[in-house]
Amino acid sequence: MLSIKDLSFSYGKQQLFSNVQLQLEPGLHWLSGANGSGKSSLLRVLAGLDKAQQGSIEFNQLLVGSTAYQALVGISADAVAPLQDNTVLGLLQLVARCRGIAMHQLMLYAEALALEPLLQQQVAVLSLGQQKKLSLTLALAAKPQLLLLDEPFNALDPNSLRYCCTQLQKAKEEGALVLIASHLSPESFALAVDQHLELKAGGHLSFSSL
Amino acid sequence: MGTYLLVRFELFWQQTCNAFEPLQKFSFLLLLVAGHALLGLLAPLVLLGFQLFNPELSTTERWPYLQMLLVILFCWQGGVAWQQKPMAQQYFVESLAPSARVAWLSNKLMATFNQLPFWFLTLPAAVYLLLSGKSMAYVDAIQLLLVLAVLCLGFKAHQTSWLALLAVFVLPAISFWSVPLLALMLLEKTLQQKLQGLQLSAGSLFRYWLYWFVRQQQNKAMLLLIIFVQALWYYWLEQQLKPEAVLFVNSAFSWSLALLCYAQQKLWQQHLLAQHYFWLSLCTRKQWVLLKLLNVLPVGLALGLGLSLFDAVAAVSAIALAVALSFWPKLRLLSVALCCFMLLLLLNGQGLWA
Repeated sequence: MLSIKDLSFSYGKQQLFSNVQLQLEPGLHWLSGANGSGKSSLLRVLAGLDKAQQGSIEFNQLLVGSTAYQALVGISADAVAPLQDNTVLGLLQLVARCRGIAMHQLMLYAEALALEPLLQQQVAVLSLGQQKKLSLTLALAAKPQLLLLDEPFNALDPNSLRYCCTQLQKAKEEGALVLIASHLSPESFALAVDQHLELKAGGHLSFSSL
Repeated sequence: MGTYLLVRFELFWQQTCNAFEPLQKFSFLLLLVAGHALLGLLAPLVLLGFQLFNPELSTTERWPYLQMLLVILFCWQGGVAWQQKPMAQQYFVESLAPSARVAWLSNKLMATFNQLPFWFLTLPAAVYLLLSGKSMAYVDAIQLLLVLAVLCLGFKAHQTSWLALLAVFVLPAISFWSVPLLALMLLEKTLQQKLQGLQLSAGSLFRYWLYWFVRQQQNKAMLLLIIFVQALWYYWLEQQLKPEAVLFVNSAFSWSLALLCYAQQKLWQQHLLAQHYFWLSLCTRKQWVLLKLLNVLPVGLALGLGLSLFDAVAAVSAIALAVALSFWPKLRLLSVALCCFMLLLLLNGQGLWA
């Protein structure tokens, strides 16, 4: 279970959210909100990449930032794939080394998302959709217990979109907690979402009906 | 943890190689020049070192050598900034860390690693000054350490102070030279904070270029290097050199300046290329040509520097070389020019420093 207590976060003087309280069980959770409402920042704080000024985050009673917590987290944080001056294969190998994932496991996802012919290409020359697929491959292949996805379906072609939805459903069935941040409505996708949260300006979190 | 730290180091190394990529093409040439200079019995570089550490010199006499050291410091500060990744990429690298503590530790380690050459350059100088036994050398050493500490610890890597650089060259040789230097660095920091968010608008193409030039750390570092090379040759010329040596100094200066201008312009070309379609959709054909021609501005700067300190022939040859290199798309010209320069070295460069 993901437990967030009194969470406050700001960039300098700009307060994004304050005193957020949230408890999420494993399953598929959809976080929507307008551009700039703080969805991406919330995901980054949950992934331990940004430090909240106040509050606590625990997943399965493990504190954010601890080795045990970080081993359970996977994030696809950005619209474009990172480390653009590397090849696709280089990036897959890097993640395999750091996260201790077998290369064949990464390659399975890469193949399914049609990245195999692009292995020797530089990340910088990939199209936006291809970069998104790469970013998703890196996040999904680790099979994390807490999977954080920021706008995962942007720029994906129909086949890849279907594959991603299937994988997310599978992750849910295997007991993972998947949090998807998107400005789109969950009804647009073939996903059995358990909970729909809405982040409003000023950092107010509310539950929307599905 | 070990794997992650190794990966961070590999990424750091890759970033460093990429950052200095425009200069890599000339590394062989630069190596030859440096090797030649070091092989001479009274090689200027060695001379610079001896003079800086010479306890017999007064502060005023040592000032030019301290200037050199300070410029190297600022150059390095600019170089460090080159290695900074965009925020999104930093997030990705940190997301691979086994824990938040390891991410923090590796960030600190990389920062320290960045600064090692910085300390390597300065600490021996400070130690020599301290051990020289002269009171003014003691003051110099303390001030050097103070500036170093402020640069390394007090400022983020993205600041390379233009004002401080200016101060290095315009300040008179006063005993407490670090005071105005530090004040100017603080002033720049304050100005930067005030101006944060108030970016210059790209109202004209020139202003866009200027904005790009000022904001890009590698431009600052490149300009610092140009000034550094210029100042270095200037002080070498003040030594009692044979006319042949002066010829060598001038030609080597021309080459260094031309190559730095060339690298500078390649950076601008890379920048334009990265936004090729954006500019093509935005500009008229005339404006696009103008944007490309903004390339020659660093050459203009080099011309000004060359003419102000060197004879017209050296300045003009430097500019001609820079322009030719900049606008010639193939590297063949560089190879021919390299051969000519090597010939010049062989004919005039041996045993000229006595």
